[in-house]
Amino acid sequence: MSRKPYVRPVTAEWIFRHPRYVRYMVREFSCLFIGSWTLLMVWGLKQLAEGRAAWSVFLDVLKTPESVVFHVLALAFAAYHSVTWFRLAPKALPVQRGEDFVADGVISGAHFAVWAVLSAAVLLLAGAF
Amino acid sequence: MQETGATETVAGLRKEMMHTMEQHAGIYRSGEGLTAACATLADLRSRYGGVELHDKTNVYNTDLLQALELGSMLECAEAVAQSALARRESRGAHQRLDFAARDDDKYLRHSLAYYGAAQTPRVDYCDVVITRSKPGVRDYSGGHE
Amino acid sequence: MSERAIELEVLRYNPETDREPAFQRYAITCREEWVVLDALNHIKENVDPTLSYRWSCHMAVCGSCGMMINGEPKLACKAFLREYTGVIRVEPLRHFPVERDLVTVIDDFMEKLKRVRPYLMPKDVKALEAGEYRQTPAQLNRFKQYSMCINCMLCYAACPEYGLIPKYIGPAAIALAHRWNQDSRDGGRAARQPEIAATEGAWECSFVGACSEVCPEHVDPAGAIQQVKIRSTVDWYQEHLMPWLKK
Repeated sequence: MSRKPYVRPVTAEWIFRHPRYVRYMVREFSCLFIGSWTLLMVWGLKQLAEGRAAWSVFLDVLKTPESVVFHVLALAFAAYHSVTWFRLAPKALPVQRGEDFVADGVISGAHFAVWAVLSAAVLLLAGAF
Repeated sequence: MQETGATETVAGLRKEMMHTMEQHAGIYRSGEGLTAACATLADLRSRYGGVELHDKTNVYNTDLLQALELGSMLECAEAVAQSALARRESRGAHQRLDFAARDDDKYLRHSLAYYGAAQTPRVDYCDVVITRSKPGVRDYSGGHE
Repeated sequence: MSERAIELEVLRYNPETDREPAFQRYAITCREEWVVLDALNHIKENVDPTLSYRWSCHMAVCGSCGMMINGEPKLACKAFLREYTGVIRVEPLRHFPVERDLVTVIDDFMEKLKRVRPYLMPKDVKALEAGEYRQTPAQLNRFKQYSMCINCMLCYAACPEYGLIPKYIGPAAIALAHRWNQDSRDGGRAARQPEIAATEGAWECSFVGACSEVCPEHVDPAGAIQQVKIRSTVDWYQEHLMPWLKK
């Protein structure tokens, strides 16, 4: 027998082989924005601890055009991540009632509902209305 | 098999075998049809020697695999056709239009096909060992008790 | 019965003569209702008997004919020609070494499948005289979809993690372990945990979800893997916070 199995090399082009892989990478890429935003918040906390002057610096940075662009993008990516995550939640948390399983839409819906309520609560506390 | 100058193909012989079996050894059989099938299959078996192997590799050679399988299938087919021809009755999946009734006296036995020196298999019989299921009327028409 | 002229571009590889695989084009006339497997069989019977590929049932239950068709992992017997336009590119299933033409070396999957112990390890062993293990429809539904796996390995071809990290146990193996874990008769979850809760087990998965998308039997291995992750996490906390509890 003269076997000589050939191993095909794996390169980064797999990302572009199908839209589902591109969407996956976009979802994963959101972590850069979410991570950066978290660091920004940590810095903000530090500024808050250092008194009024430091806090004003923080607020001024937040108001810059670059910051606004960053926040818009971060919100978009974070929302994309949350939406995809909630839609996938039923796969990880199947709920069996009797013979059948609770519909996917109910479990996703519950996640979105809680998200909406918590968001409203945060906005309320922040004085938005 | 192998070498060059061949006239037959594995696929060609296989198709002819399939066609013959479908036509003459299918759901309804007759002495005439089975005789024709036996002749065709004997012919196919002799032509099998003229098959050429196109794939000469030693790694996952499915050309060779299919050629070997065809040889076995032809032997199997001829055994089936010869046994069916010799079985002058109808029993289960073997339904003969020229012998519609079941004949337990003569044919409550297993057919055995022996391949020996002669090309055509010799059909012989051995008794059925009856244990739990006894022979009886098998009527699936639904119009009975 | 109408016919179509089709062109197939098939990746060939003969280990005895080739250094690497190369494409070969076949132009044939096909019937309208054919699948890619019919086209391959036609080529093998009438054009090129040296073309090697695996197939068996031709009805999407055996899992033998998995291959890449226009870049997507599919069963060749379930890929209808009428769904494609232009030249159809046929390659061996991705992420497995190529043995010959469209035949891959599947040893890695077979070995991983063995490791997860995909068989019944009864919770309470019953003597034959005691009768059958009984299950309600609800208990059956708890694992039924994971039992539909036909080991076709399309999920391994779709999974980028498996492509980049060959040690990863993979979707089908974990889904099949999960099938037994969910079976009410089974008591082998603890025995399977070291394999599927390991780093190369469920934790290599980043929920791309491609496996579930390409699965021809709708097993949803991605769902199974996430459920295994949750269970493993609970196990870990139990082990460390309440070690007196049995798993």
